Amino acid sequence: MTALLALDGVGKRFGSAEVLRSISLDLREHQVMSLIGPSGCGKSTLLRCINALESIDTGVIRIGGERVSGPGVDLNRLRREVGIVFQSYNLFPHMTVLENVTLAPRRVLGMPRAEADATAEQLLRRIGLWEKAREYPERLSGGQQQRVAIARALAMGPRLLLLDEITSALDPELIGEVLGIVRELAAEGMTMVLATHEMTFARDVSDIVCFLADGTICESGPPDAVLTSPQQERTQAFLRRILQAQRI
Amino acid sequence: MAPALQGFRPATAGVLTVATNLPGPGFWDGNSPSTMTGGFEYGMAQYMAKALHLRLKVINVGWDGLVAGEVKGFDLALSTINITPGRQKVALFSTPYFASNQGVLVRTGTKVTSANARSLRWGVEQSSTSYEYLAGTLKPLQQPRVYQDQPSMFAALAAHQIDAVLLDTVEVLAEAKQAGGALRVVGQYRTGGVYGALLPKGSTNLKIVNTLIKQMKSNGTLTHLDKEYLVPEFGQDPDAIPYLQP
Amino acid sequence: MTVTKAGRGDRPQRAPGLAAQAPAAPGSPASLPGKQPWPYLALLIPPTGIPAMRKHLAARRAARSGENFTARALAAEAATWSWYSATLAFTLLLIAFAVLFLTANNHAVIEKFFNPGVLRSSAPEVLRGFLVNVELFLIAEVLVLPWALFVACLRMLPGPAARPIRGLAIGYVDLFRGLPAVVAIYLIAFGFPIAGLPVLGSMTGFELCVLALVLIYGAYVSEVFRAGLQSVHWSQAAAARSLGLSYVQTLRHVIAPQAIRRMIPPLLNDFIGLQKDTALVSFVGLLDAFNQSRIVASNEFNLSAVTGVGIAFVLITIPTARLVDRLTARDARRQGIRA
Repeated sequence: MTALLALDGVGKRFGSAEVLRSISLDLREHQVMSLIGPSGCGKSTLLRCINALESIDTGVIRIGGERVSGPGVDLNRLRREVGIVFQSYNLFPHMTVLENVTLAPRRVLGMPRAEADATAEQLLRRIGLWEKAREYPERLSGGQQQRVAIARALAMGPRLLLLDEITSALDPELIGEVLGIVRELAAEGMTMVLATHEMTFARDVSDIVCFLADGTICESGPPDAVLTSPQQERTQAFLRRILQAQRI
Repeated sequence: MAPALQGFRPATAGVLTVATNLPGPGFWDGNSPSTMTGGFEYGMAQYMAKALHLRLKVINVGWDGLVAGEVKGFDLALSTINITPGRQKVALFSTPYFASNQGVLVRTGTKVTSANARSLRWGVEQSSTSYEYLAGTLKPLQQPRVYQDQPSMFAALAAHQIDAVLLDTVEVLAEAKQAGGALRVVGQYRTGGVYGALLPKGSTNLKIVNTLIKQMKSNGTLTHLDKEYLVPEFGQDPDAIPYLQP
Repeated sequence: MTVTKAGRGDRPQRAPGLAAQAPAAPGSPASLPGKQPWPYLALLIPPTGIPAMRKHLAARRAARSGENFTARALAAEAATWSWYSATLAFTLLLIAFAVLFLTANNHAVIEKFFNPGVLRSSAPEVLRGFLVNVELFLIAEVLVLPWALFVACLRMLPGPAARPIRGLAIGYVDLFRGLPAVVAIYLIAFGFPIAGLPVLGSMTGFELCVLALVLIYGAYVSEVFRAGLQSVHWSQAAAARSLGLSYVQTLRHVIAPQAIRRMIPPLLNDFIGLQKDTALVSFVGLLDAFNQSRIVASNEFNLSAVTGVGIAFVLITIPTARLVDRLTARDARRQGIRA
């Protein structure tokens, strides 16, 4: 069957620097892909290219078989199908948690307020933050804010969810609650691409792991293959360094 | 209403709108259009409004816009406006109703003679006949200072920024009186200037205005207004002021 | 020599009087009480000098009886009182100069600028003229807001196709920020009627002045709006767009509400400028307070009416200025807490 997400020879430059080179990958529906790699390898850029926050210079991106990169694409429609959660949560500080989650469904999908509120309630209950619905984001902890950010992205009913190092800005003890949600989503069959440093988590939840270095996919495959017995030298070196750091 | 006065078309129905540029002591006694107590030209305006069975409304307008024909929305302007060929190109003028030479106003104690006049620091009002006379005939050695309006000019004189002001004799006499001895009119230049009422170009009321002015001359109204408002305002007989040669 | 308390063990003692011998800043607690000259100078201003002296003498007494702690505390208080004397003296000096200025030359300044009689008699006329200024700035302030918002949005339109529009907006802002306000008012109030423009040429002087003020201050305020909108971190826009919100929706629901709070102090500052610049309409003949006061000044040969106008303008801008101070302080506090 056709891949839900297909990248074909995607490249991007920032000025003279080539940030992404010849990226090609396929992701089928209900699959979870983890992107790992050293900082600055282009993981975040790649995710932002998928939902068109950045444009690509070469190659094609397709979602559900439809081309979504290049000119003439209805970006707003694309973004309804692809949700993204950022490292710095980016909740809207002037709105309550509930308003944050219901804004896009009401304004973009035209959902009536009651329906939007009901959907939001469902999502917030699922992540255990319904009692904070009327609070402002600044009163919540980092982990709570990130969970609300996930709920906000889910409220639009996306087919594909992108998660850009969503635990990197959190205190260690808060990481668990956020990863718990992602685990549940994976179990429910949400198609996701996540950029992460959490190797154990990546192994548990992904179907495919891609190692990115210098803007290109160095190695990719099932988690056991890439994480436990990597073929490439670069991958091995990287994993060694990570494991050393995490051992402490 | 007499047949000669019929057919007056006011800018606003039922109202005679008379424009002037305040202050105009002697001609308009008062600080604002609504606090007029008397004055030569105010008296003329009142007479005309009564004769035409219209309510009188006085408005204050900027000077150089007025004499450049740029102001709209009034029937006639009475503001000690000298009739000049240049101004006649942009506006209509009535028959003259007053004559005035150019007077020299100085701080008390300044000596002005025909000989030393050119070496003084002069001040004049923008767009005035005084300015034209100074620039064209008197030709002082130092560039004269040109002011937006009369109050600024008189203030500059009092502040020692200029030595002498050239303006219509009747106007400087009135100002000297206001100054209570600090300023004096010490000379005048014979220019034979005459005042006329200014009407917007294209106005159809000129004939009626002329009729009214001729009436005021012949029935003694102007003489009466002169005696009542200008003579006391002057403090000196205008004809007694020494004439200077440019 | 201070004696070690028995039972405390052998700890090296500081040499006696080291603190006293070290060079100390005047008034600092470390300086030896009793050696400062300030309290004597402070006596020049008795209300604060006498307490300074008293504290100083008490400090000396305490130092003599070995209560160094108390002595230092008292010396610090003496120093504070001495400072009060100094600042009071400075203020009194300024006031003395002001009084001298006002009464010099047989009260010339008061007579010519602050004459109560003229102020009182001219007040009704000048205040009536002031109504013109008030009307002008109230109407202009209301109209400037939507116009400036419009220009700011034009300036921020994205995409290459919008370049000419952005250029126009930039041109407008540059023009009216560069043109002196008085020149702009003059050109618009006189120029439009002369040119005989269709609708604009037949507006009244007042309306043209409002138009001029809106155009001038629209330029400044549109820059305040643009800076405010752009000061909202782009990640907010990224989050909103990635949820599917359009450019306009993002602006309306996410960016603008956050920007507005930051825009208010510079906006109020521009409004203060607008309030003051309404005085410029006197140059095109409008009978506002300034024009009226000049007429009175000429008729009365006294500038007090003009001073009165100055006072009126200052009085109305003070509440706005205090409001700006309060809002800025509150914002700074909030940022501090957030960070």
